[in-house]
Amino acid sequence: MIRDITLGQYYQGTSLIHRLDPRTKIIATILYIIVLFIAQNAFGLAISTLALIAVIALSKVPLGFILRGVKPIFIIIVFTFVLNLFMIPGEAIAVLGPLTITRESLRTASFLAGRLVLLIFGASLLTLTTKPIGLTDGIEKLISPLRRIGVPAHEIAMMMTIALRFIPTLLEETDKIMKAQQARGADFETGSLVKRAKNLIPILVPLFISSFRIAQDLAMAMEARCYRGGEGRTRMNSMQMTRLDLAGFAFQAAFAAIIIIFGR
Amino acid sequence: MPKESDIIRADELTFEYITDESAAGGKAIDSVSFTVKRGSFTAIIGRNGSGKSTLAKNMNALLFPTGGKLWVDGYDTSNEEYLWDIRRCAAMVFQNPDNQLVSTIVEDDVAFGPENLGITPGKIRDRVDEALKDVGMYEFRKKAPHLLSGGQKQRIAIAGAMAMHPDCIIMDEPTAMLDPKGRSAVLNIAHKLHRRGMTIVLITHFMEEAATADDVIIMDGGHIVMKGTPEEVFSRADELRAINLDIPIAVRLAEHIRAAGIDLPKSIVTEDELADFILKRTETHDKGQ
Amino acid sequence: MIKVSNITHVYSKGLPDESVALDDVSFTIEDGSFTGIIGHTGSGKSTLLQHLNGLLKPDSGHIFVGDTDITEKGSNLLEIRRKVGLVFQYPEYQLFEETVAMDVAFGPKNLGLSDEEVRARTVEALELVGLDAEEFGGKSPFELSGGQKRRVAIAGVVAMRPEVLILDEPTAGLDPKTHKDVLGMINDIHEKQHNITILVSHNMSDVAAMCDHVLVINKGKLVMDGTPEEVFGRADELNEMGLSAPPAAEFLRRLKASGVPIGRIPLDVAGAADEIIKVLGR
Repeated sequence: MIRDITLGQYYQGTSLIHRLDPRTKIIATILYIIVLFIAQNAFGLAISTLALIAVIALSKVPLGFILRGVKPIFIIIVFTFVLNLFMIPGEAIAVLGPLTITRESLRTASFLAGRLVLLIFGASLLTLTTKPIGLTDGIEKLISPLRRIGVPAHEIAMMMTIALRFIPTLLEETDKIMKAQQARGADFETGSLVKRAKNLIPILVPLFISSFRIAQDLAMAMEARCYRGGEGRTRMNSMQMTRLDLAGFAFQAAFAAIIIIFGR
Repeated sequence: MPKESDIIRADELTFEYITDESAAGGKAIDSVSFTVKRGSFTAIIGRNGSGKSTLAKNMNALLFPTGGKLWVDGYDTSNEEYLWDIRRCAAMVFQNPDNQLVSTIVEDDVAFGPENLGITPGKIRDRVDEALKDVGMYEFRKKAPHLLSGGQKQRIAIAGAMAMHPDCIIMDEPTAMLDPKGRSAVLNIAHKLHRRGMTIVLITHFMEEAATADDVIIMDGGHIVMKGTPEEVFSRADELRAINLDIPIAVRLAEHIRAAGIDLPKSIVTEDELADFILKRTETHDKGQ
Repeated sequence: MIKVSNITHVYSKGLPDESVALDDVSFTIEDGSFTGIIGHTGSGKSTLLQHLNGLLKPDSGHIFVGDTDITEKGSNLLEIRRKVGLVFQYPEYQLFEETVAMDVAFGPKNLGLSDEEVRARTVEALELVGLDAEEFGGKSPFELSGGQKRRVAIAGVVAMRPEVLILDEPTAGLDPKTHKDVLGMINDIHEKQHNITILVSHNMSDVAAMCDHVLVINKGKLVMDGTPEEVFGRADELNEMGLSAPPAAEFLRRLKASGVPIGRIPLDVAGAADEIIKVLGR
């Protein structure tokens, strides 16, 4: 069901992690992902895992909640694992019919899957502990130096805000339209791939029209509230780096150093 | 500039939608003249396509007159220079509660207007808190709008308008998509703000909502067909029927009662007035006995 | 006949946000009945409607439409949709075809009817909702007025010739004239097709005027089940739930409460006026 998707959702809290400046968390997440790919040995991966566990514990987000959110992506991880398992030549350790598992392939597949899991947990922790608005504000602030070379920082952030705001609305709309067409005997579950794709037309056309209507209404409402781009605009919550963020950066630096020295 | 006593003034205002099909185009508003007094509660009524929504959008400078003049707080709306003054002065609340909230968090949405006005963060915070308390949604300030009911979303939209500290709020069918509970909550807030001195322009097709206004303007086919106090307008029930508008329940009851030969003043148009009349009559009966 | 027995539906079962949307609901609707369902937003009304045509399955309980148990595992969904037509709120948002006729034909086509039959039903349905098939059939649904779009959307369900026609707030957002027209049209269809019609509405005057049977849903429970007179006669209880009797009746109740010797409390304006005249004419 649509309501089960927690990926990208915010988990209300007041933990240390929640209180970090969004910019700190965005940078930390990017850094963490880079470090994950620098780490080449088991020690590196183990330290990365420990670091993530520590942060999850600090964030006080229940593990079950995170797991529920990443469930849909698990299939992709399993798929990449299996694909890698059979694709890399080397010293054979097991043979399954035409397929061979090698020492190298097992190692690569395990590392890749491990990295992906950590990456997804890390990224979802960012969205779980940061309000969407903080996230977009943080991104806007971080990319605003690029405005000089013509990157529309404010516009990008505003688009992300609006997308986040309307995803639930559009999901609900899709659900409604689907049910309405089902009530008219539409069938979305059986038939060939081509037929199923064709069956989506009765959903996609109304959804498209709805999106346009929303966009039009919203644009008008924004104009009525004196929106005229980022120029001269102030913010209610101005972001402020605190000592907590300094600590966060120190932790990050130590972690990265350990991986670079011992984890390769 | 001295404040005029009329916050909105239209003089032969005309608006024509430019479309490829000239037949379907035509004048949505045709030479309309009226005024809205500062501090008044004005209801604009008409059925769909009567031009009332187009009129609302003209008052907010979202559309510009194609003929005639419209002044909001003394600013000529056809002069682009005053665009932002007009929009700040005459804030707007739209019909669809879903499609006018910008942010994923209630309080951030209310802050959207003041942020656009370039107000300092501390002052925005004060305005947001005040506006949310005014509409009774303060305890929902951290919630996501999509988890609220239609009526609650509409109250957030009103708070968003209030936070811009406007002189006037134009509500374009704010109750059309709400259930009775949401509808009365929104109306009560409109009246509460009005009692505190806010000018309210309520666009609606519910007659019961208009019966409590100071002034009523009735539109049909792009024209103003009636204008006056609720008493003046609703006493012309036959004309209202002719343009397919509803008649308030008190007026309909009064018609039946009058038809039975009972002398009932024409000025009675609300349920309160009718109840008072009946109570007085029955009390004098009792005394007479 | 529709027989709903002890249905319960729980959303997000076993999760922290678990909520009971329907709690042991049972009722019967006779053939040819025009039934009204009232209850405010979030009372479980919509969940109930979606059970009646198999879009949702109950966690427990059964629903019979005629002799068919539509809650049974492996029941033929298409058969259920043919029997029970559901018109959602703001149904015009589901229009998608190039022409009005094609859109109305979508349902009948899904039923696997012959082209001829589909065409005949499209014409019939358009006429039933008061649109001339010749004039409107070839038009794009998107160039119609709001009221016409809604008629087309309703025709799309009517064309499936359901034994039960359910309409969820069919007049939401319409202006008074269109409101009246659409209700008149629903009444016409009911009289011509002798089907069971179920109307969900917030407008108590409409429910009182049109329905012979009223169900009241509150917090997932069926709290009242009777004729309009019976249900609206319990106005105090309705008020407690945030619902009300029709405005004319509410006005009389108010007079009565302030000491005016009102006898009967009719539900319509003319009846209410007569009561007031009696009092004033004493």
